[in-house]
Amino acid sequence: MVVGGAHPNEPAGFIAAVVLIENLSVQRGRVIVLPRANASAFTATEPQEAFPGSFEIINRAGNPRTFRVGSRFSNILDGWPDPIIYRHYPSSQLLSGAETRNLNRAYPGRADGTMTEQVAYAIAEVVRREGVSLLCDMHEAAPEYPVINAIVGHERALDVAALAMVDLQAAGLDFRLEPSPPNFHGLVHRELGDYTNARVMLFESAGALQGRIRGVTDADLILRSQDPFYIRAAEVGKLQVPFPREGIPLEVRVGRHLQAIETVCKVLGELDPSSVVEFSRVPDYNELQTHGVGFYLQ
Amino acid sequence: MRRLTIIILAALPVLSSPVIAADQPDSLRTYQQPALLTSCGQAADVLIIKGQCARAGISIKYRPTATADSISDVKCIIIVAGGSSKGLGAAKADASHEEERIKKLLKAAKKEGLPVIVFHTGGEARRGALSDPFNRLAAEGAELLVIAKDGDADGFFRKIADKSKARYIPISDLTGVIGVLQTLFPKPKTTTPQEGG
Repeated sequence: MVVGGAHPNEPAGFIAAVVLIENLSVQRGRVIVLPRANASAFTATEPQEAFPGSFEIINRAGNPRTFRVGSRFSNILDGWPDPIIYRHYPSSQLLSGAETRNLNRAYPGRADGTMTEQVAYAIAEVVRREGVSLLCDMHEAAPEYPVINAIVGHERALDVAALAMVDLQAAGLDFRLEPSPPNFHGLVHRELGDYTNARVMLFESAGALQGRIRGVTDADLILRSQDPFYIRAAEVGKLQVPFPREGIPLEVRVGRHLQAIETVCKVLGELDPSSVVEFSRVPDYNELQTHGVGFYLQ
Repeated sequence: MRRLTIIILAALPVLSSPVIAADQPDSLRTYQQPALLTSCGQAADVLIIKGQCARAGISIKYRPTATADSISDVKCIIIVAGGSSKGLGAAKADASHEEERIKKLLKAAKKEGLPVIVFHTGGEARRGALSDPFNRLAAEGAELLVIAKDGDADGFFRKIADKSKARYIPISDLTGVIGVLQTLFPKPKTTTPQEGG
């Protein structure tokens, strides 16, 4: 199962999911793709962040295709009012009130909870009822964030993630391997790892859109992730990842996600032959750099 | 004179430590299986070696928190060095507890005559205040160090190898691990019965 759009302000995640849907040909096993995991969060951007409402990609036919940009949180109109303190169910972990609308703090969810908790519960139910063996949740994070260009995995997923990391490095892509913190609750890898039988992991790519020191925040920043303040921050060694002058374009961020998905699926089949998934026609990292994301969109 | 000094300094490590290129490890001794695979510092890097051992067909006993009592059924010990606060938390250990465990394990290995191989594959991310006490402890007890180059830019492991006369194999990245493992743990030669006639 591939999840995009848990955080709709992280476009590489949901664009990678759309590319999968429009290109994937499955030969063995089943693939479930969820491109807009938090649909409510696609209906608004975050206040005071000056995010563009949408961006365009020229598709294979040469036509502009528009994608909405959303928020990290469900639309507040779907959950008014926020509590002052968010108490996670069932751990009772306390977080700030707005986190009550963060899907990736709401797992495993509950059927009669807030709307965001219900969405989390619904995803957990899909994983349980469909017997999902591997779940990959795709995100983006600020270049100054320590868990970046990383695979974060539940302990039952770490064997697959570790070997995938080696194979990704052989393909020229460096990923960090981060175990899911056992005491940080609500995250997809912790809770669905604990409450379902799936091996659960989360991929983080690096995007300036998520960062706190970015400058002009427009559609071009989404597409090219080229920002003078981040270039400067990289020059003085303040970032967790390389930040080249040409930026980290969408092709790179989506390409990393898709290459990681293909790789973890291969390793899963190697380690657990009962969970083999074989598919084709998904562009790999190099193909995306050559042709661009739009080439793979209808 | 200054140029001569630089040349001599540059040559010193080559003269003093048995460095073996990862792609030319012919002079390496080989090891018997099964090997105990454990961590020193509980970083997830140990899982990479576990997976690569499986790919190389090497029989291991994976015991990330192995103690001195865990070595009766193995013929050598592989320790993967590098600290992780998350990993230590998951193992319900703190740094001093982890160090004590490894000290006892190394002492038991020495008593039983078991060879110890240390891998450090986490690079720069597994260096520093948390990791280096684990790295030093493990490396000082090893007869062979396999070290990813970007984790040894300052010669931390090389200096330990020089001092203890341990062999030292630098690898460029994780992709070099499997080749080293295959060399260290060669597959047993099978004899095929000759066809008559």
